[in-house]
Amino acid sequence: MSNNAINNLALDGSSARIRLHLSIFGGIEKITGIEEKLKQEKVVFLGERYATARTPGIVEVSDIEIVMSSIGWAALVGALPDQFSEIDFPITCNERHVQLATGYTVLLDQVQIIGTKQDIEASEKMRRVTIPASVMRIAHKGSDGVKKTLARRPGVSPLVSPAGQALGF
Amino acid sequence: MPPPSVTIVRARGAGIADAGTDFRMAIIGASSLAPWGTGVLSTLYGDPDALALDAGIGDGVDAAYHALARTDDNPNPPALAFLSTLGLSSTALGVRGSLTTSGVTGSTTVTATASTYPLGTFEPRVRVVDDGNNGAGCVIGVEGIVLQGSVNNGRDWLPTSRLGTDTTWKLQLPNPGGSPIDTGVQYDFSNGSGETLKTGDFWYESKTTPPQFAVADLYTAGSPGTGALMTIARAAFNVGLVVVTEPVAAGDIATLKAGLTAMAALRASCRPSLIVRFRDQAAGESDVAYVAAFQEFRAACADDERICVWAGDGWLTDAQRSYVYSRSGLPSFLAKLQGMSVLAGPKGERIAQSPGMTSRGPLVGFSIHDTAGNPVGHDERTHPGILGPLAGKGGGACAYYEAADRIAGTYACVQTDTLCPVLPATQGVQSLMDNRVSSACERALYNISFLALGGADVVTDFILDDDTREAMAAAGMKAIKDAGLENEFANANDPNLLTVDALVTVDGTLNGVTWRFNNKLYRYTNSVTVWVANARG
Repeated sequence: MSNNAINNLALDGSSARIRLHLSIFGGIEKITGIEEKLKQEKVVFLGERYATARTPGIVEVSDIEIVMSSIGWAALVGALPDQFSEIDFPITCNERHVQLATGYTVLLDQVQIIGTKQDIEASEKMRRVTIPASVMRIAHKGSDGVKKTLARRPGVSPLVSPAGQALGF
Repeated sequence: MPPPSVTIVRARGAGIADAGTDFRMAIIGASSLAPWGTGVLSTLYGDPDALALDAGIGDGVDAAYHALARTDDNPNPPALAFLSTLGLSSTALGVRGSLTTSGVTGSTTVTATASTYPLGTFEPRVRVVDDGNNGAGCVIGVEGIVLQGSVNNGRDWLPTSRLGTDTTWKLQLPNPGGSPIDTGVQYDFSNGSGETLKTGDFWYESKTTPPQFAVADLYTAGSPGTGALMTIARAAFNVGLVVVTEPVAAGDIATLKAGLTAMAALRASCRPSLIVRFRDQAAGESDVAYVAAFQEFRAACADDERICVWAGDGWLTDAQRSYVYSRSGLPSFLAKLQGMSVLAGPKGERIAQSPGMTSRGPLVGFSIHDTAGNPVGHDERTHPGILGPLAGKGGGACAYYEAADRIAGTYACVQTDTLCPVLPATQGVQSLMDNRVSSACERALYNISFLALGGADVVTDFILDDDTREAMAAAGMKAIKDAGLENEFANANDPNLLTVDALVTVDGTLNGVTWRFNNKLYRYTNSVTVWVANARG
């Protein structure tokens, strides 16, 4: 039986490598809450019983939370400026199966640290520091190697990808 | 502790802004003083008066003063540095104009003093305002004659001065708080047998030629190369614009082109645009002949998109003294360019802004019509031919006059204004704006790629690890934003603006990475067609 790389291979969280700007910082356990949503209004006109129009809408990108070990956080803090909410940086998350030539990349662009959360307690558990962060936009890179966004921005080509054209988009 | 004090200095508004490399300018030109040393680049100046105090007079100083003077066109002038051609071994001294003395009714013979060399482009004119003898004439060498000079053919008159018992007289610019400044123009009066000057006598000189650099002083190949361009490349600060204020010859372009290449070879982030100028229109030379001469010059030039040539002179109001000279419009063009550091265009573009954008208004301090309305310089609208494209190459930047009410004035125009071949419309670097934007992006990418050097990479069979590539690409795009270049080209928001090739070249433990910057340069509105219906309702 042949493998078609969709049914037989799958990415998982452990295949993700995360870079903050150009560097890998150890101790990142997870990044949660990466969410984007196009908020539109679907409009019902008089005489209609279904909505027949929708607004272009705006994309809302949620804040994220980076969960790190306190040692990893200490290393990251060591690389941050004295007032570290005043810089922004990209976070790239690359996932690739060891048997695949292509993978999936998520670019969290213009990330800014907007807080820290942590508990200090006597226990056997790892000390974790949660870093809430603001994300300006998210881009996804698929198997064609081109980064794509949920909604179009000024100055970006409205053309669909060659693969998309083949599907009649 | 001494009593505290507040000091208030009354002075003209002066720019102090260092607007970054993109608008940091180095001017190479003639000056009467060069306290920084021969062939040495000055420190950055923000105050035009401080520059003039140090550098004296000269076309180069005047151009720098224009670029530093706070005007409506340039409200927050970026700082600049100056490199004087004074004292460079091969600089040709200024040349006196031809003297006309038919207005002298006294018996003395007025001659240009031998071995005097003008320090700028002047149109000397002198008149006798009083002979101290009720117009009957005063003998040279006898106290009584009062002279008044002009450096611009009488459009502005300098303060009067007494000849006294001298037999020679210098044309000097006033210098409040200091000694008058010699222009290098001086006259002798014969007095062997009681010759005289009379009230109302006058004489004048055609336009003088300022000191002229030798191109070898701008760049001479070598290891390392020498000359002004290499001095600028070695400076402690980077510049985005280099300006040569005295005219270049066609043959100079190849040398300047080699010099720009050598600058970038010496320091990869040193990739300025070079602005030079074509000679002024000669006395009596028609506009058509001037355009033909420019085209002949252009045909003999080497191609280079990094070099922009300004062509055309007219009435230039000197920013320092407000004298109306007949000179190149280059200084006003520079002021407009520098004003872009804060006066953004419709897309928020600064570096990418065209000096020909009409909504920025006409050139300040430069007109190709005199106060009587007569044309005094090349008008590209009347006799087109400078802009190009010329024989498959770019042309020059120049001026045209717009006479409509409320928007009247002399405007700059640029199209394919640099010395490069005209490439297909869909691609290619063609204009000063394009080159400046490309250079700015290259500098930003240099900075971030420099910071990637020495980084440890994972390379398997010549393939760079995905997360390394993506991190480099994302960091590069951030660098473009951090450098403030988001508005300087059309697709800064493209998530694919920068990509990093997977395939790398491997040499032992080192590997070479290729970054691809997929920017799209702006186009510029060049014509608008307005259809007017004129229907009746």
